[in-house]
Amino acid sequence: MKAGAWLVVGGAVAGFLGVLGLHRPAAPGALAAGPARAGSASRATPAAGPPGSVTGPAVQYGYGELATRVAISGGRITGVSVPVLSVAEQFSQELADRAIPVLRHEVLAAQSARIQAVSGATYTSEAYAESVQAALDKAHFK
Amino acid sequence: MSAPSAAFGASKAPAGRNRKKAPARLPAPPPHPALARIALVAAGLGLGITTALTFTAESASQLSAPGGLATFAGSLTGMTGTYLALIMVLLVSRIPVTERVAGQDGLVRLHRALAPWPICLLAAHALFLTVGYAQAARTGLWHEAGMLVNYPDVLIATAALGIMCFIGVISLRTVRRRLPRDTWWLIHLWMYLALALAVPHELVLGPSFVGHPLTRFVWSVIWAATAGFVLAYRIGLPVLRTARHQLRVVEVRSEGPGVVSVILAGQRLDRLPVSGGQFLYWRFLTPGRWWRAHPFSLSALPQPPYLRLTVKGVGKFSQSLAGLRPGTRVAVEGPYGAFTRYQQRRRRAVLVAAGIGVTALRSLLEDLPRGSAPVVLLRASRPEDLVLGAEVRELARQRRGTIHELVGPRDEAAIDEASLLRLVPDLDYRDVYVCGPEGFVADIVAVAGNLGVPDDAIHHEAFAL
Amino acid sequence: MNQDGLITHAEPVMGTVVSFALRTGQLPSPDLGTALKAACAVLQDADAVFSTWDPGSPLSLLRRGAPPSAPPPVMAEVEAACQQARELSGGWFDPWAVPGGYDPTGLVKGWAVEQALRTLDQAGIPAALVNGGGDLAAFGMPGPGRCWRAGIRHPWRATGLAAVIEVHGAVATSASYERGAHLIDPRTGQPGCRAASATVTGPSLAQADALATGLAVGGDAALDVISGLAGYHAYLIRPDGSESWTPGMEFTSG
Repeated sequence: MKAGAWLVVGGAVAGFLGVLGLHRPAAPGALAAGPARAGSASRATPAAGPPGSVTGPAVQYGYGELATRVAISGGRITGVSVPVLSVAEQFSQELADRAIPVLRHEVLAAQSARIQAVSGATYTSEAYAESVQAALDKAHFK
Repeated sequence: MSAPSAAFGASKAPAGRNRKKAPARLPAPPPHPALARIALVAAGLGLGITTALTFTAESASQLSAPGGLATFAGSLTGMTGTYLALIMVLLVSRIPVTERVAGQDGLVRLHRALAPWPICLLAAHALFLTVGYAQAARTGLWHEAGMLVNYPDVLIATAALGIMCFIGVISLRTVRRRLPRDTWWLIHLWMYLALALAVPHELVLGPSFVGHPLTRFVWSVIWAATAGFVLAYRIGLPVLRTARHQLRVVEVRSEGPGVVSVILAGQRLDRLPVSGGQFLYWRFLTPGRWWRAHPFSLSALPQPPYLRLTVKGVGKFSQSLAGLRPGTRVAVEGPYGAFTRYQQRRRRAVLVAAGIGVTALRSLLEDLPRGSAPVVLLRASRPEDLVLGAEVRELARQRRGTIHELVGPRDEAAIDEASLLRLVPDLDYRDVYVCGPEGFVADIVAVAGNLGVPDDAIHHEAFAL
Repeated sequence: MNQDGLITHAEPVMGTVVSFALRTGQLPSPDLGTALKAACAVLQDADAVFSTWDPGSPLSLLRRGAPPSAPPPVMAEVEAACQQARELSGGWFDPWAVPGGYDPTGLVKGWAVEQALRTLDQAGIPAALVNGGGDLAAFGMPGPGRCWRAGIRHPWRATGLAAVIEVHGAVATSASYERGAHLIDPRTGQPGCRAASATVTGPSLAQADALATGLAVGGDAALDVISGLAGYHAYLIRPDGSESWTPGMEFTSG
């Protein structure tokens, strides 16, 4: 069985190095050196949906995926729907939440803050769809 | 003598001399060592890939976060532990490719040797993750453990780990000896349950899985393949064979003190691929016996429509076989066993057997071609223990072989280096086949090794009684 | 029209989505539409000039070393603003110290949004807020006795807010949680970011945009610089969750 052991070891080393070699790491710093796994943002390329719509890439929130579809007609956003929702397990979400530091002026529910806009790092047009700003725009949408 | 026994009688014409009367038979498929080697490489590849995927799912910032290192260790131990557990399942799934090369006993030995690893790795997995999450959430270890088991998937997985550890404990030699074999076997089967219980928490909670479609894909393939092999070869193939061959007991006859031959009749036995020296698991479908399957070698090549096994009554079960009623239906698994003429490396062979080990020797001998001039050594404490002696003598004669019967108590008639060399002067040109009780087999293997017979020319099958 | 009398519009441009919130007052609908269209045209024009993804834009040509023979006048305007921003930020915002040559992207968006806002003002809109994908400016009052209010996005909770402030002029935020490590440290020429989130408020969105970028890169050192600037305030969230802000920074309760 000695030769067999070497075959196994050889296969293991090959598999290990192969995966490491082919691995393309996500954008460094996407995690802003923050706690555990919350907020990691790795993006896939946007997928095509029905004509005139863009399906946002599945955006990572560390444990879950959220992909929304934005219907665009004549340059205007006419609708936002969520075709794929695999929300983080409650376990994972709570785990992530518990690891995040609490900020002094933190407001957890944007709806109750009576704001008209959100200032943050610039989102891509795909990421816009699931942002709070999009929800605000929709609420007031003509 | 009734018709079935006559089919296996010593006076039967050898294959080849009278082709018209020789029944059509299907030999077992030859082993393909290349395929087995590919399986080994694949197993290694899988281990390397799954381990590497754990590394690639981590980032430097995750590791430096509180609890990051412990959580990573938890992921790593979880992945490798699960992978090894699945390999262990595959080892005993009786996959033909590996079984033909290594034999059942070889695979089971490997299974036993591997066993501590997944159990320890998975226990470490649970510990590391609890520590890591506790550090991340800045709470105490017990508090964190209490929180974790609130999640149903984790609770079930913890139960699964408990079952695994329990099975590990009862499989320790000291504990196993005190348990009835059937009890031990039934508890051991719970491992399938444990694995199934663990699946939900892996695919749903593992951070290496969420957002990593490649990891999910690789593991889905591994789980699906394992399930597929188990269903196909552990369950499917035996069910198929049983249904196809419809075996029934037709006769039970005594071969000597405490030894009986059971002859079965079935359909399409010309399509049962079996070589001399192989065994099957027999499940006699009577109220008291249907829930156990015991391995017994065929004591002769199939003579369609008949099969024969010869059993020595050492335990309650084997003793009860003398009372089998004709017409009893039998379910089978197999044929298994690498103790066949395919293993032969050299031009000739010497076959050594003690006690009931002669059954495998007898069918192996029948499978050797004419003119192969085997040397047969039969060892027994008393003359009446040399069962099937007449058949063995006739078969050896037909193949221009020599037969030596060494009868007597162990201190007088045991086979040591000197006697083996005397009986088999051209040992350098012969493969050594030995079967019988474990101690006997171990002794002969050691003796042959001491006489310079290389490992790949020694073939053994030990009967665990 | 909705319950609080505001009209919103979202315009995909410059690789992001620019959100408009307008109080229409007595303005008739067609005039509103015209004004919005004009504002959007301003944004599209800016995109056409300054897009770094479009290899044929004047800025891309300039970066490739083949500047157009007749560069649009806005390029000079933006360049002047960049020089001012470099001075104000104490060198933490420096569009000339990035690989590939002069890249005013950290300021252009704010500048373009300001131009669009001006267009709306000139069209007679009583109150408007324009949010260029996270950098916003406003004028007027969204309702009687009310102020425009903006939330600052929580760095680790995508749908949470780190703080809420009243908008007087412009608010710009810079961070890495959307686009990854795209911020270059002018001192080293390498990607570098010392903040989980950096917000600057002040009278000019172009400057606030640039200062926020500099604050994200420079961290506490840049915060010190900005605290010395009249009219501008800053709010910094560090990667470990600790925060600092300039003395004049005011938060409102939720």
